[in-house]
Amino acid sequence: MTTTEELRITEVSVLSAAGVGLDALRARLRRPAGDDGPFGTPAEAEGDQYAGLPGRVAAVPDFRITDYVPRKGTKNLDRSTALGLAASTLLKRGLSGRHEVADASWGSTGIAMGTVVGSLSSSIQLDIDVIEGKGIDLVNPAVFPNTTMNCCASQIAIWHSFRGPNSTVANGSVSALSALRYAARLIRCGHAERMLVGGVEELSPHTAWGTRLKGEVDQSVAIGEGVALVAVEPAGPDAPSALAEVTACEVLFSPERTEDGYAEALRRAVDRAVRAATSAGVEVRLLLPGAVGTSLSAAEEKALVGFDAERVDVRAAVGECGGALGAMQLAAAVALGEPGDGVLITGIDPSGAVAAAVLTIGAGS
Amino acid sequence: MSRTRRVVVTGLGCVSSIGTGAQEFAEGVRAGRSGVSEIESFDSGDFPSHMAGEVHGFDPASIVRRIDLDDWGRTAHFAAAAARLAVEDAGLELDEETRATTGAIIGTTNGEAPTVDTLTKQWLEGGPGRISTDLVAKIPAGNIAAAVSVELGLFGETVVIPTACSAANYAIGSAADKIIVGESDVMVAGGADSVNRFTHAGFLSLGAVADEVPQPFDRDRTGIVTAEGGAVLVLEELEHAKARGARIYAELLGYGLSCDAHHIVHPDAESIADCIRRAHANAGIEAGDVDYVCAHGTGTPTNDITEVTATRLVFGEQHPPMSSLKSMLGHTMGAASGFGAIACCKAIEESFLPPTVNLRNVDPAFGEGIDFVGSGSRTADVRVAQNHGFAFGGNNAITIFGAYTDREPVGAGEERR
Repeated sequence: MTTTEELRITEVSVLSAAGVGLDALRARLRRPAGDDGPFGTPAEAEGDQYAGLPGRVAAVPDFRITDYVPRKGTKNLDRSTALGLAASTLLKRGLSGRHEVADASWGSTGIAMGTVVGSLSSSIQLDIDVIEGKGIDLVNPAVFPNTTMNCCASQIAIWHSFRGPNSTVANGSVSALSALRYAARLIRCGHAERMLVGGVEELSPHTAWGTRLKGEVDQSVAIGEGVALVAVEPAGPDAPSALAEVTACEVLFSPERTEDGYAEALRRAVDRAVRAATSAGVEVRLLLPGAVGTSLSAAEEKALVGFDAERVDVRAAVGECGGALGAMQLAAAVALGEPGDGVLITGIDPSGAVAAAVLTIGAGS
Repeated sequence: MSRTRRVVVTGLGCVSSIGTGAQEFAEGVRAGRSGVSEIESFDSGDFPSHMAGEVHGFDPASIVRRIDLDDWGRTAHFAAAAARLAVEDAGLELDEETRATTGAIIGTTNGEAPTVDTLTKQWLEGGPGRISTDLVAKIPAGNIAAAVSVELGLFGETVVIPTACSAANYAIGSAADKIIVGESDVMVAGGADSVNRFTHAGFLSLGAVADEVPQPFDRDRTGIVTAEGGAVLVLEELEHAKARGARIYAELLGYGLSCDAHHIVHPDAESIADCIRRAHANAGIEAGDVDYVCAHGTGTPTNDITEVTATRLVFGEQHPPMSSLKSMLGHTMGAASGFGAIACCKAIEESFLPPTVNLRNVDPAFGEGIDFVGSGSRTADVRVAQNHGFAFGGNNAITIFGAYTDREPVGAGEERR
């Protein structure tokens, strides 16, 4: 069963280690194997905290929030929030440029933003300020809200006056696909009309070290960051042309956190998603697996055994980017898919969460 | 869209500073018990305020059956324990067929913040390469719902909605929608959070922490105390519940969401009023149907006047009784509206109004005619209860619970039902 057959993706925005925009992402995804880079470098101020870190890191190149919004009010934004704000600004501009969008509809637009844990570096920095200041003397109250995981989505709403349902969804590497599922249900149940859906992750020494020490991601994969957002809205006579249709989006769980457990749960999600595609007359011709280059790749392979389609590894192209991975996969589907084709996106998180989605690429892509 | 599937609450579970399990919690609420005490979970010596709503002696091992406690942080322990208690309370046998489509949606503000605090200390003392891998693995917020689904053996959609202090209402609303659209017959949903140092410090830096105890709606209120716990509901499709002869606490009539899009920490009365109206429309009720409002009621000067301004915009002079659980529990953050939901269900089931404690002088700025239940809990017929959750970022979420009847739902409106 699918619950999302009438929903369209009408715009995409993306900032990744490959650069800004779908063209940069497409070029990176299509580069020959072994040609990895160049990537952006992290802020100099943090440079020495990466010293000794195994493997590479990959920042969004030359990112400055003031390239996207006026300077006033940007001083205390954390990096996750700044990335999200930039992507939402691009998305709003892009959709308005392609289609006449009534101002009032932005007022009712909602957000479903995926994240692993929000801006972890904001929480750690606040805690360091507490420890080193022996109390609250060093704590800047203006940055305290950056420690809440809904900060990015909330700031996007504030900057753009999006008064629709404002939500943040945490589900590890399948956060953005979970956000898509959540947003689709909000629309279906009448709580929202247009939702901006995606995921964001910031590169910081803390996430980089944490990811390397956990060892779930292969050392050959750069630790990246980024954000991608898609505008999701129901099909209708006044709706913008579709870059893609959301043919299916399944989010399930494996309480048995073993290779077989993950594989079985993902297989169930994939079966449902592909069945929905088949009944919509869509053939899946491109597969964007989410666990390649991680300790869960074997489980994903088991779930996809016998699945014959071209495969593209998005994580290898843009680096490990946590809660933004699923959003990068959505953007990659639009970037690479041919009109009429189905693109299957999969993901597994060590928590047990699994997801599978099919986008059907539209003529407008 | 007409709603053919109705959602009822058949199980309540919680771990709180005033009682473990919904019955003990409800007895604590009725008695006006305070869970606020001197902070024990960290050294508060560097701070001017030393109070929190901690759950002392929380022993998850005595409640959970399946999860390995070492795999999860304190917040996940709260969620998993509350969920186990809720399922036991529901008398629900989770057979294979039910587990295939049942999932967990849990809200949080701070996630595993105490674990982040420990990692920060390790980072400062030993350098980046010496932090504990085991602790790093506990940090992702999604783990909090995952712990619930591992504990209960669930295969359905499992996700955390970390929309700060209204998060449990978001979670309950989304879980209900899953049942309404036919994706699930049973869902567990709620919220969990843990007291920690940097949240205490952060609220202090904003000047939002109470000098002593929280005094919502009082003229002399000075702020919140941070608090913790887990609060989880079992939501069930009505016919599924009836078929197994389940006890039905209440019907979840609907919910509403709104976003202030105004300021990251200052709430907006018009937007909150919009949220109330959306919740009423979604629930198919009129303002006059509401018998009780379980307020967000943090006890900060700003929240309480903004909240009353908002409820006045909707209810006018005919304002239903409104009280604040935070007067007893402190501010349990992402769990707060989960506790509110449990209190609403119990108020409906047992016909009482939860009190606002520590309320000596109602703030005259609120005007006349609102009963804040400041003289202790009392008996009252509660047919419809409205449960508020507001958050940083202007993330407002309100759930509406109604007494279940096998006739038409209370106040059934034209739309959405």
